[in-house]
Amino acid sequence: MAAVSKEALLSRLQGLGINSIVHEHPVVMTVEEQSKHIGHLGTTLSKNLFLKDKKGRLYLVSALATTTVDLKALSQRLGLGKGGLRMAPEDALQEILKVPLGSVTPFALINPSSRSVILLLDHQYQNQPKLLFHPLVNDSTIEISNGDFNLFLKSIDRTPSYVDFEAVVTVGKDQPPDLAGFVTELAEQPSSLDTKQSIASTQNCSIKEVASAKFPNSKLKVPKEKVHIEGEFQKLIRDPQELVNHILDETIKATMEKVKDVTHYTDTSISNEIKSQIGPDLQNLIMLFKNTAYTQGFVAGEQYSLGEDLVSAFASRSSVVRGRSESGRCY
Amino acid sequence: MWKNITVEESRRLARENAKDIIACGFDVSRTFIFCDFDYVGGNFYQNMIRIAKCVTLNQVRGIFGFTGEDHIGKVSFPAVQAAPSFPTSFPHLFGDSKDVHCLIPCAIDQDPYFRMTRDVAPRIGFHKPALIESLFFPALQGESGKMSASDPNSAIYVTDSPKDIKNKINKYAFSGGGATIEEHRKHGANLEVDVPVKYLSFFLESDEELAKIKEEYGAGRMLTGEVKLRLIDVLGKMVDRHQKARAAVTDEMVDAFMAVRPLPQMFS
Repeated sequence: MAAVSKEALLSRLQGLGINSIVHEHPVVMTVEEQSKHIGHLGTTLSKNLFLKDKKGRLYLVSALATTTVDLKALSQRLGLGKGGLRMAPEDALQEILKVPLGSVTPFALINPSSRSVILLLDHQYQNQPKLLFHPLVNDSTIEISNGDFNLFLKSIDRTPSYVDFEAVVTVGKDQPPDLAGFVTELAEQPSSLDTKQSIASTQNCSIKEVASAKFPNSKLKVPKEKVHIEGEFQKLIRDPQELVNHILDETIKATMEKVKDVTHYTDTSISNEIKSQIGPDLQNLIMLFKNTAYTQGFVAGEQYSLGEDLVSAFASRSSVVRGRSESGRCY
Repeated sequence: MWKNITVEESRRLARENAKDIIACGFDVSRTFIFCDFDYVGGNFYQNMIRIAKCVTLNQVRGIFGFTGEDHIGKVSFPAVQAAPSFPTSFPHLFGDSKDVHCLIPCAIDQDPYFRMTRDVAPRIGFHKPALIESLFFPALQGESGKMSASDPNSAIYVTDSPKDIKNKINKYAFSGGGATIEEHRKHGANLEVDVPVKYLSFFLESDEELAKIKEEYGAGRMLTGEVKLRLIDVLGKMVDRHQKARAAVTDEMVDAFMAVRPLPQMFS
């Protein structure tokens, strides 16, 4: 699919009711050059990095020019080890982001080809009234308000994920990488809508379901937004049908294996062997299912007893969960 | 207090440990997890004082080896450790009933605390808690070594990848096999010091398979490499399952387990 042009981007922004100011200037390849032409605006410029990890996943890191972004530390916090992040090659820039060199910008995510790119935004963007980005080309800069930028992101089905790039976070045996939730699993199909929700907000989606549905039926339906990041077990406990299929598959597989081995004689001995082989694992899975259902009820109960109206309770819950997932711990 | 970490770090680690515990398959409708930092107070604290009044400074010096240099946090900790043995410490679970028995699975190094507790219990009108003490299994480098979080090659961690496990067992697990294949075939393996076999005796489900391995390996018919391979397989599966289960444990789930709530299903 062809690259979205600057004009198309601008008309899309207008269509969303966003009033942005475009500043024209000569072609600039670096933030320093850019600041020579529009430094007078008083708004802090942004630096945008297009990165790639060893498994081929792509990241767009957008931060204030004044924020220090330590790639080594970021790589560790994402769970990629030290030195897991490199600058993405030029052809990825052309193919995925569809912008020329020196024009990396979050606006490039308007291109459907960049759907799988993981967007990480400087948390300081939240308290900036205005932000400055390239509008897909580096001979101009758009000045856009923070709120309008979020509107744009919503229009391309992205929720902003804010990271404190300067936070000193130790990652070690006892401290899992705090940003690992942003890193998607590779096995998934690329056509997902939202690639950057953390595991905590994965649960948050099902909480949305339960908060509006009647507990204790605990309708663990697959939520409308197909969330990308899910471990194997989470997929199973989310959906009773998946769980039952898994159980039956395991049982049938184990039975077939045993039946082939003719040294076992009686039905009961085969049955007992199968039960002892896959029983404990399945029990564990079912317990996880139960615990998840209880937890969702517990959370819903908390909301209920706080007596707030459900809309504000829902809103405050999402930000609390996001707060947790970002800081890593909630204490 | 013993490892000199901050209160904040302790609380964080407590939550992380809680996730591992939940991942083992505890039932939230029958399990209450608590952290001293949040729970001490009320009836729990009242029991702490009742216990503390029954133990003199000289006694804790004798039991735990405290000296004049140890800070008072350490000295008063035994009362905190003992209080959960008594049902009235948990009014939301047992009300004011004193007639509930307590079973404590713990490692053998916790024994002194609970011996002290058993001594105090009848004096304040409670049943003595019962203990199940579990054995320690050896560090990878054998009996001479100690498992430590700072030495990654002394133990298998639940956060290890399959590659890590394979590497650690193959490279660092102390072998009781013969120095050469000929010697091994002739004399067999020394099962007293062999770490892989000891680990298998903890982790291998089938008693028959374990007995067979011990027999074959002890006689020299089975090689160290084969035993290690079996252990890598067993541990790999176990760690993999634990990691998957742990990944499915959310912060909300931990909150649910730690919420001060009644558990009517506890004994059903």
